[in-house]
Formats: sequence, C-alpha cells, structure tokens
Amino acid sequence: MPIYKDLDTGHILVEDYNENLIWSSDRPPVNLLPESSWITTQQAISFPDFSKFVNYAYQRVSPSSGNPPPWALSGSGDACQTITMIDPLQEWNGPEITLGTVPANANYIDVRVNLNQTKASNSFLDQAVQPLIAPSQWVHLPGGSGLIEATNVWRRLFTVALNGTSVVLRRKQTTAAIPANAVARYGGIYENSAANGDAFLVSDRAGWGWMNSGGGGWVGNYRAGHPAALIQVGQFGQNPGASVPTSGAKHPTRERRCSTNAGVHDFSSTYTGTIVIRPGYIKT
Amino acid sequence: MVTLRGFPEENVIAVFDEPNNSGSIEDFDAARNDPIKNPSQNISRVFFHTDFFQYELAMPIQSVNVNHAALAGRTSFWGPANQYWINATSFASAIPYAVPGQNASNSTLLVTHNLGYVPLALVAWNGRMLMPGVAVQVESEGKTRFVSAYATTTAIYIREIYSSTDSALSSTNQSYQVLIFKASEENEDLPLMGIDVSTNEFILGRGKINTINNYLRRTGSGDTPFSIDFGPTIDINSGRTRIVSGGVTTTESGYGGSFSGPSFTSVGI
Repeated sequence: MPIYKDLDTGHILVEDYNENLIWSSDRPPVNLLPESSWITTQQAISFPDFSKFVNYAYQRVSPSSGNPPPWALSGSGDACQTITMIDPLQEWNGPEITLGTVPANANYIDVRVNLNQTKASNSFLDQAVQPLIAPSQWVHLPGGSGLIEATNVWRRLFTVALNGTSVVLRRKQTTAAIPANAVARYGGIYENSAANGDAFLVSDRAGWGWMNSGGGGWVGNYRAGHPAALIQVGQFGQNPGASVPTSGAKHPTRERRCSTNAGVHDFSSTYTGTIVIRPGYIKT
Repeated sequence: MVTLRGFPEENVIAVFDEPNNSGSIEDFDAARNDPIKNPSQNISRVFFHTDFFQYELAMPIQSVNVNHAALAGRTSFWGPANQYWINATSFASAIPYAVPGQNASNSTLLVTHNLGYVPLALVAWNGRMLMPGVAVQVESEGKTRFVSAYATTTAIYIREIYSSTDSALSSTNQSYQVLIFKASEENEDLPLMGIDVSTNEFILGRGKINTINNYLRRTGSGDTPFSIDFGPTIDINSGRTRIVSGGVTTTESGYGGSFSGPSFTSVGI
C-alpha cells in the first residue's frame, strides 16, 4: 500500500512498492512555500573603506655610508617610500536592512544570491581582492551566511536572516591583529628607526615614520598596522653627480617628498544583484 | 489529527494536522480544512501540500573528488630600484618592503545535470554544508583555500580562491557530495492521487509526489543525513572567521568573538 495511516502511531506514510519510506508525517519532507511567498529583491551590499594611515620611509645615503661604487665620487642620494596601512582590529557592523516579510511560523529560509562585484576594493599587496562567491552565478547560502571577501588582513560577511517574520540583511567587516612575527617576517620595516626618534632629521640614516593621510608631518616612529598598498617610491636620479637632489630632498617636509595621500587606495567594495529567499518549514 | 485530504475542484491535496473539528471534512471552507485552504498561514500544521515545493532529488547523491592545484610562493618588493648604491646589497637599506604571496581563482565542474534551468542544489563537504567562507585547506602563515559552490542551467561547479605567502600552498584532494533537486510540476493528465499508469508508480498531486523519487525529509534510521541550519552560520571578528554548521564549530586562529551558532536539524534521503 503506497500510502496509509499507521493506526498505532496515527502517522500517514508514503512508501514505494518495496515498502521503502518516501516520507511520512513524522518524517515529513522539507517544505518551501509557493512562489507567491518568496522574496526576490535587487540589492546592493556595500562595505566601507577601512581606517588607514601612512608609513613613510626615508633613506639618505652618502659616500661615507655603505659601500658606494667607485664612480660615486661625491654627493649623496635620497629615497623615500610611502605605504598605505590598514589599522588593525577594526570591527564594523552595518545597519540592518529589511528585505521583506515571511508568513508566521516559517522557521527556515532557502537563500540564493546572484551578485556581481560592482565596486572592487583596491588591490591588497598588489593582488586583486576576489570575491569568494562566483560572480554573476547562483550561489546557495546555507544558513543565509556568505563570507564574501577574505584576505590575510580582513574578512567581509553578509547574512540574510530571519528576525521574527522579517528577513533582514546584515553586514560585517573586521581586520586582524598585527601578527606577532610581522616585522621579522616581512623584513625591511623597523618598528623603531635607527635614529631612535624622528629618523628624518638625521643624516645618513634610514628609517620609517608614520604620518596622517594627506600629510601633516611626521607623527612618530614606524606605526604598526597592516601594509596594504604602495603609494609612491621616490629616489634620486639615475646619474649621480648630475641629478642628485639636494640634501634631504626626499624628507617628508621637503618639496620633493613622497605623497602621503592614502586616499588613493580605496578598499571599500560593493556587490550588487539578486537575492531570492524561499521561506519554508522543517519539522523538528 | 493527521489527515490526508484532497479537493479535486480546487486541485489540491495535502497531509496536514487538523486544527479543530469544526465543519464538514468535505467542506473546503470549513475551519478544520484551513491548513489545506491556506497552507502558508498554517505552515507548521502542513506535512505535505501540492502548493509547496519539496526538494525532489533529480539524480542520486553524487560524490565527487577534486584535485586542487598547488600555488607557488612569491615575494616581490616595494622600494627603490636596485640600482647604484641606494639598494645595493652592500648597503643595509631599510626601505624595501617584501610583499608576500599571491592569489588565484579557479572553477571546477562537479556534476552535469542538463536540467535546462538553475536548480536548487546543496553541496556538502566533510559532512557539512559548503557555504561561501568554508576553507577546505589551511596551511601555515594564513595560506588558505576557500571553496563555494554555484549552479548553472547545466551543471554544478565549485569556485575556489586560494593564496600562498612567500612559500607555496600545497595541492590537495577533497571530496564533495552534491544533491540536485528538480522543480516538480503537476501533470494535468495525472490524477490528484492514484497510479501513473505509464510507470505504475503511486503519485500524489498529479505527479508532484511520485514514489519512484526521493525527497529531502526529516531524517530517520537508515537515511543519509545532512544538517540544515536554522540561522546564520558564520561570524567574523578580529579579522578571522568562525563557522558553526550542524553543531560543528570551526574557528580560525585569532578569532575574537563568541559566536555559538544556530540550531539545526538533520535531514536525509
């Protein structure tokens, strides 16, 4: 009998002809509501830029320092480098966005998204930040959660969730702590400059300081953060003796300084597309 | 009381729990028949309804092994060009910055279905649902391989985003289970309940339920179980992720939150 009621339990069972259970009222199918109850919405999912600052490197070299080649008879050379840094341990929770409502007692939502990256983050460490979901494809979000970006430094997450009878969109982003081995690992960046202070005021020194984005002068020694993108490298000309700038030309207070505008690097991102939410009910 | 009831004129049939005994069982408008008349407003009383979608398997559960490629390590440098003496190895420059690693992406075919529409599909890995954010491989210094699935009108694929540091991410072999579901439609030539004479199979709802097929349902003994989560499964904090799915917690080193995860239930075939 393909369908019958078990008089002992009161349950209705559906079986095939080999008495294999298809489903029953105590092991019911997962039900999704008809299309009239779905929520289909076009949505932009945006994440803001991170808090940033600039680390500034300056290096002054003269024949008396290092071991210059013999044709470097006189003069000195200067170089600078500026890097956009992302502050560690940032936590951002975006305002909740209501996407629609579902019938009372729905306890499950099947969430599918089809999103395209409409505003990409600036590259991170020269690598494009690629979304973890396939662009412009239908992707299932079990539990409604989708981690959409993950670099060594940050994570970006969006979630489609039931909140009573409302369906809401939540967004979060976060940045990591500074790795304990960051300086040794990446090399070349000193947390404390050789000058034990403002390295830029000392000749024949190489060191790092940090500055607010857009300038404003030297603030302190190298500031711990996450190096993210190169702003500028400046160096003396390629014909020493002819185009070597004047002493200190690459110092951050001088005319030929490197740019300290971290605004050229925008790590915000936006994903735009369709979200389909099918409410349902699963007996527990 | 659990009951099976059908109304041919309204073209509906359902298994549901009667809310009361008010009215005639033959009266579609009777209060006792409200779950079949208004199933969406009585969803917790409905076990099956022809207006609902049931996850009907389009093909048996597919298990697919994927060989994920290695990714070479890489180091590049920011800083003055290595010319004259400013960056010569004989001078201990403090300016160059070593930029570690590289990223790559790839898509891999898991299963071809050729249904002609984008089906609902579930992909499981390591006994749990695969969702965007699951890392199927983690190695030292943050080398990671993230994998998520997507569906097209012809196939199910996985997309991977993977990264190395100054050292390589190794290759790995992983197994994925794929469940693909059909969008069943009623066939007006079939009865609301009875036998499909072409297959000799028992049907409900003009073919929406056919005992030759399998449907995702609350699990029981002998089933192949999968966990379905009732809420968000991922949290991020301190730049790192915690995933809780099916009661299993996976936490990246450095995560600073306290996410405990959603409730879940086991479903099966």
